[in-house]
Amino acid sequence: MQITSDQFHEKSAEALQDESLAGALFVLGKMFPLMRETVAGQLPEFEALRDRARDIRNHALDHLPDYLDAFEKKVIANGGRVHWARTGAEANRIVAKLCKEADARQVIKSKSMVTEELELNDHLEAEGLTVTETDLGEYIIQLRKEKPFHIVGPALHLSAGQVSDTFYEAHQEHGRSEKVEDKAKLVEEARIVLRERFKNADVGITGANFLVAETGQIALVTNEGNADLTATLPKRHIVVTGIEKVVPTLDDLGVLLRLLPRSATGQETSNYVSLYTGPRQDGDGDGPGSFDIVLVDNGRSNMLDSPVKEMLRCIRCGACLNSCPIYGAVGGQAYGSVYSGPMGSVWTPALTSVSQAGNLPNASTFCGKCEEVCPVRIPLPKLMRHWREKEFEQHLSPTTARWGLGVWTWLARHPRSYRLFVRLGLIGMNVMAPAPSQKGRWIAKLPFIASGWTESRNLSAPSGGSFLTQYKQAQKAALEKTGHPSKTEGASK
Amino acid sequence: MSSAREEIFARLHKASTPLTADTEKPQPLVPAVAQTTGAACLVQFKEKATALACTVAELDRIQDVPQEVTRYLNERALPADIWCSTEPAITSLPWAAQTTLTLHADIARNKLDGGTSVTGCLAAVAETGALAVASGADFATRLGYLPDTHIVVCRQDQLVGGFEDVWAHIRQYTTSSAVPPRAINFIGGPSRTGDIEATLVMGAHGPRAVHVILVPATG
Ligand code: SF4
Repeated sequence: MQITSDQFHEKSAEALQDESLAGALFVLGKMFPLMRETVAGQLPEFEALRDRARDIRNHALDHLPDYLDAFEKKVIANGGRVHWARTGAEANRIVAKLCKEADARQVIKSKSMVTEELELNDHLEAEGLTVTETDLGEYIIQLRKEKPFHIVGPALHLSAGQVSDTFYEAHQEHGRSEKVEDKAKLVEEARIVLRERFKNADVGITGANFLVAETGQIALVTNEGNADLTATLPKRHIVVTGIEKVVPTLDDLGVLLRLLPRSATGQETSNYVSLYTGPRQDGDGDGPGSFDIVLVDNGRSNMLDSPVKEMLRCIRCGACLNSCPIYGAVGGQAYGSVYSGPMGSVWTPALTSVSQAGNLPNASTFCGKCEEVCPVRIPLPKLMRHWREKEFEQHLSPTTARWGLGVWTWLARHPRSYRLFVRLGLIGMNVMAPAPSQKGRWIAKLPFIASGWTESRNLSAPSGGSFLTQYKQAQKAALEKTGHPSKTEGASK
Repeated sequence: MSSAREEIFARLHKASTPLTADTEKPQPLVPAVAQTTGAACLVQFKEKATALACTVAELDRIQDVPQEVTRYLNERALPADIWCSTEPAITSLPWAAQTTLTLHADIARNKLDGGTSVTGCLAAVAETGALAVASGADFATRLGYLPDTHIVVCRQDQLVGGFEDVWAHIRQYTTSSAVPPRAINFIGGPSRTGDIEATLVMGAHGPRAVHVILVPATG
């Protein structure tokens, strides 16, 4: 996986200036969470289902080899084939080989984050295949050669005008002569172009939202129906997904199917929920002649044996992105990885390295909102903290941060110097703050290394001295009044 | 050199515990919304299906389906070309009486664009308002995806509470070591997308309209 997460700072600065992003981020950050809350509120068992989902995913991960083995046996009994890939490169080679076996030239795909992770499209195209994404958002970013903006809405950062420009260029060969900006017309245009691709494709590649060990089936969830056309029309169906996606039974799948759309887009159900069992059967009216599943490790088995194991519970709903104030300010592109937001800040370093992606776990205010909404209750802040510690241990954090922490540690151990430092700091900050206005007293510009803080916001000026000073004053006042030092409420019981 | 499978499993074994007969498994949890029966089930199905932008008609006799199909297509000024699934319950209906309808049998992939399919279903799920269809000799999956309009005939006895009722159907195959249908699709109304500026647009790839015709139970 190629990432550019080391440029997080530069790219987020750009994103903050980009006013066209504001609309998309409003929808994601306000509308989706509101819809999620509404549908969650309508399901009395929602919280209990979240507990159950966490337990199901934990149980599956605790016994992962057993469930994968059971799944594989069922797939084979159903007439399918299973392939194992240690790395992304190995997975790409397997898929390319399967396409070659079928003499394929045209490949259609439905949205799959794992294939984004593997950069499968680039690999297949280098092998001479034409690959077309069919999820509308994914199709748009494929034409624009971008990474997904959001794991659920890959092209939500673009305006209809930008989509129109992209289509105008890409669809000339399909006889497009005028630009339309009407959204329904844009969807119609893509439908016409992609319908032909569906009909002419030799191979269909999908991901899988879940794998069911009990029956050997894969579950796919979409609103557009593109995954089903991908799994039904071409001669071959290839499924590419991560080894962590397995759940024991259909009943377990039921629990997750109730949480995924509600958490993702605030829908009670996605429009299409499908189970695929294998290749076309005797007498079937349609369906692919072969069914291959490529199960990708690419760092996941190592994660299972690591402090970030819990991340493997993720069902890719995107709720943590929508709830994140950092994602909500800078959007997905700044993360420089196919996985963005809080989940991306944990996945990306796990799949690459802390040295490449150490910026991401630092892009958090630790407000805890992500953990609050995660349907499988992944303690995302805790996992991000793990990467931060790793980064520090490996001496990868910036010198200023290390130096600052060093000073802090020394001061914390030397109370007298600490107090002196605080007193001087307070004097300094009071000098910097102008006279109080209606909105209180604010410092607009801090000097030196602290200047970053005030670049895009003000800092509230200190008032009433340090905690210690105030505490002492209160003690003194209480003593004068009652003859006893004051006691805290809890201590008086 | 060990195989990819061996290497992956070696790592997984190191980080997991074997499953035994005593391993405690999380118990199933089915929300009340997925457990309605009888009249409540019907009411809930209609409400949820409508919320998914399906239209729903109720008939007293299954024989009136062809007439309802004509009415529906006329009302929307849609072409009178239909493709039926081949289950006897659908093919045996009095189609000939509907002189304006043209029935097609060829479901080749380039024939169905803009057309209307008329099919049965495996179940109508009251939990979500979706229709479950299963591939097989008398139902080709594409009938639910390529036409512009999908008309689904559902017997009242095919109404079920939730996903679990369809799982029970799948288990009829697995418990007798048979292979379940290749595809089981829950169709929750017309195909849609919100991928451009998060604006909902109907008819992304699949049908632009889904019409459900409820008919009495057989027998
Ligand atoms: S971490 Fe949780 S909230 Fe975020 S995408 Fe994964 S499942 Fe959804």
